[in-house]
Amino acid sequence: MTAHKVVEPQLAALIESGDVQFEYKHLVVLGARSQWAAEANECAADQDMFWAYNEMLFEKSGKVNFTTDNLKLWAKDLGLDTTKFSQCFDKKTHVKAIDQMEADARALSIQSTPTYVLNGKVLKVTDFNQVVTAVKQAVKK
Amino acid sequence: MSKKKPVNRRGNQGLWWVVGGAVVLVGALIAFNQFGGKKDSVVKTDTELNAVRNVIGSSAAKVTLTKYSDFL
Repeated sequence: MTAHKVVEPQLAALIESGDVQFEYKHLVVLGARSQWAAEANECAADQDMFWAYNEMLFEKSGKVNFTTDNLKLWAKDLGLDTTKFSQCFDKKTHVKAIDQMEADARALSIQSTPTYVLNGKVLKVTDFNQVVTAVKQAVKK
Repeated sequence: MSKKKPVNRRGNQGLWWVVGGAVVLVGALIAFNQFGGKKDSVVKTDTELNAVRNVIGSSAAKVTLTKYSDFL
């Protein structure tokens, strides 16, 4: 099971209750298609759809190629303004923001994905359920 | 001279009811697929999720969790 399937669903209630704030940062380690996906996700955020698009990317991952055409098609599937999305994507509008996220990762010596950071501290885990346990313990403190 | 066969109006009426029912049923199924089916896949905006771009949840939360991730 991927971290996405293990951690996020178990934290949904804690996020909704206001106990946990969750932030997703792009760390591109797998080449050009990953970079395009990250940029597309940020373009979706411009239209208030970061999380819906993010979820869709994880669902498509490993099943469909992350080509530029597909990334644009999926924006259309979510009902985004495709003209605005394409302009954003083609102009590489959010490259700097993604670079900054990667710089943040480097500052924390993060080299692999996914890596979780709890209250500023990098979690070293062998099983993604340990992330959930650590978060729940932090909430109880 | 051959006699005309009497028209079985009651039988025809029954047939029309069956055809009519089938048309209504098909219409209802199409309508469900078009509108009812989409209810399960309603996509929420970031605002509806209490999110601002890549951050979701209360800014007053005592715990913050950041995920550094790739998609592939």
